[in-house]
Amino acid sequence: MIRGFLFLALFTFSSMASANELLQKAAELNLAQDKTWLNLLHYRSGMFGTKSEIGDSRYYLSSEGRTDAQSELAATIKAFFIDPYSGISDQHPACRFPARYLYLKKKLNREIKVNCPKLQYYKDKMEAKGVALVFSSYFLDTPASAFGHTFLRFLKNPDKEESYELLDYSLNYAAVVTSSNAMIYAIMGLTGGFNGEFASLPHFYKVREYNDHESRDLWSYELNITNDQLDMIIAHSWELGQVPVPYYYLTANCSYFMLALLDVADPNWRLVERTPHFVIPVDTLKSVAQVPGLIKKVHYRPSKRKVFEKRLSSLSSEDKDLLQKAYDQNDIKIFDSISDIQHKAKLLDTFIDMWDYKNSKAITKEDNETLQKKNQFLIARSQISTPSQKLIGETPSLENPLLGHGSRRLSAGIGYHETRKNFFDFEFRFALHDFFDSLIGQNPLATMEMGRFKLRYYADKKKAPHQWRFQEAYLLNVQSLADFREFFRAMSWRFKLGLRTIEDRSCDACQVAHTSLGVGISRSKMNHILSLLIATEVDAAKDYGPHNYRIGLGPELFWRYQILNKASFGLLADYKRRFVNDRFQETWSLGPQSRFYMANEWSMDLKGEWTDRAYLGTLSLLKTF
Amino acid sequence: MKKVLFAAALAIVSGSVMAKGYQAQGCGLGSTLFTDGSSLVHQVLGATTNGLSANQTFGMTSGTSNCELDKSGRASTVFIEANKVALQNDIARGQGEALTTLTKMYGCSNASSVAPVLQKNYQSIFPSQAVSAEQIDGAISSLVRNQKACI
Repeated sequence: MIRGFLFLALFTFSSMASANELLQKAAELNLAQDKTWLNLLHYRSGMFGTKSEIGDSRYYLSSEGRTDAQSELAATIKAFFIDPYSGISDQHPACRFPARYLYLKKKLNREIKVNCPKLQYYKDKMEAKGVALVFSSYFLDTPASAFGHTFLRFLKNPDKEESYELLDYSLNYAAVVTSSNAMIYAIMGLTGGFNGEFASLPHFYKVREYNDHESRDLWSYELNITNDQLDMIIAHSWELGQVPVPYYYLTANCSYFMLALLDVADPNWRLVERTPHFVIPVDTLKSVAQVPGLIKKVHYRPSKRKVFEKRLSSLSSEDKDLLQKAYDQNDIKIFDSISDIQHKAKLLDTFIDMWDYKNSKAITKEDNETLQKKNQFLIARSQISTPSQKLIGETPSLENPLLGHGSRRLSAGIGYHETRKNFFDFEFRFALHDFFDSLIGQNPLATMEMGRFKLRYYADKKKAPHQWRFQEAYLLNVQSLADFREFFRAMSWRFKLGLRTIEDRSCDACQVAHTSLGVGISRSKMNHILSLLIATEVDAAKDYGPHNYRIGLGPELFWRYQILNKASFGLLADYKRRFVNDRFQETWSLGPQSRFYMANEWSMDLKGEWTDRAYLGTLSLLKTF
Repeated sequence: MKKVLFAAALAIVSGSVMAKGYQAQGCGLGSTLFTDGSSLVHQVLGATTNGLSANQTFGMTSGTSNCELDKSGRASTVFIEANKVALQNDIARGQGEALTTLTKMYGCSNASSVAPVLQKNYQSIFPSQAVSAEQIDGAISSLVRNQKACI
């Protein structure tokens, strides 16, 4: 009995000594304030002090863990190396927090024997030998993807000629949306009302979803990292995957967490720090590119549409006619007129891609009729033994999103108004791109602006009713144009929402709430855009006549030509018939604009506006960053 | 459209969106992907986010789902189910990435000699659209075996 006591006392003493020793070592190394430790805990400094962005208590071993890095460190060291453990092996603290374990093992030079079958399974199926940050290109059809999306791909065969990319694993972080109500969706999305969730899944699901179903290009940026760094990333993804984290659309979003995850591999990368507070996916690519040598390779994977376009580009115009005819009549017997078997195979190959592109929704839904029809084409194709032409994947380097201009834009200008004389403009745009910005790395047929604010100051007090005024405050300005041509007969549209100042026949300097929607057709060739839209506009203001609003309808003609890296020239002509205060009025405006690109993302903009009330001109200096 | 635009007006930026209330069926790309707002990810992983019991969310979704590329022997079926459209195209055309990947999964290093065998037998592999991934898997692997196409 006494001996037993002695033994217990000795045991407790020795483990205490060991505990003290380890904690002392951690203190000497100042691990609690070490960048990697803080990254592992996701500590961020904010308005209310420093704390972790992960609120779930299961993420901490100490009850103070969210705010006290030292207490979490001590609790973790104790749980890993000191306290005896008797639960299920998968629940061992070192199995739940494998990245913390890897980190402390190295720093404290201490190891334990522990088995983590589930973690092992997770790593085994991944077989990761490299990692890439993948950008899925802009997709204006769904609001959540309008700025693109990023996720990680773990590469199984990074340096081999045949990479079998489809068999890689991807890691995705997304909001678990619990409401389809647009209003709730928006509010919850902005305020962190939805939980975000990490998921690891075979990469082919991503390829099928983005490349095929949504026809979006995938850009992979393979990182130059060591095996130890890779192990840390995978281990930390396991830690993050176990807790729900509130998802914020503008800040702590999918792209943000990919960077926060990568940051545990090397504290010197400082990827989160490099990224602006509001996280636009493409900005996170730039943060990665800022670390010298971190991007090893760029890999481009074309969308279904691009594949179809590529096949189409090698066909003659007679071939194209046959193709269209076969598609319209839903009958490939039309190709029987071709005697050359290779030629026929080429047409069938194009036809199959066309079918997939045009019917992508029905195909994903596994619509029986669509698939059955398609099977007839495939049977015909299988009877020609010539293998289809391999499409050599040329990377369209000008479309590389990494090369795009900065998401935010600041500008200042001086201008002259016919009656109000000199004025100054100050403008800030939160994101992302308009037709006059450099189109390198951008969706060339889209304007996607969110949060654009323009303040105007008139120098002459006597000439202007107000010296300072909010000229424009647009929450959203989207123009999605589509080149209306053979095989791609899609409509163009635009949408605008915000506040603006009207200066035309119906009102002089009225500040109104504005919303407008336009639909029409466009053509595009060699960096020219020409579009004709019919738009309807609603303007509302308290002091705007007896009815507080006006509505208008009319055509808008727009043309723009861009010489890459040099300049853009364009013209917007607008005519509207408006219903204002119980009568009809006509308004029109004509606006020539040009933009000249200079070094370091600076540009100069010259813009004129001639309306039914006055003419004005502005010269501005712009900087994207 | 209005709804979409309105949502867009108020909140955009990154992220893919998913919603609850899915019916997970198999490992295909999914008939439910966008029709009832359910998510690909959930369908793939076949796990629910309700009840984040203990620390098992990720362990469950990434560990016990049967849509994984693990060594359980079902990997090729899982692959075929999700890549059926691409694979069918490739077999009919005698070439392609999905086909190369599948032959690699069967342990063959010579996709170019497997491809013509499968192309010739397209109709026996895909006798109808109702054919399941398991059946396709069975048909392809026996063709590859019987015709000694694999090296």
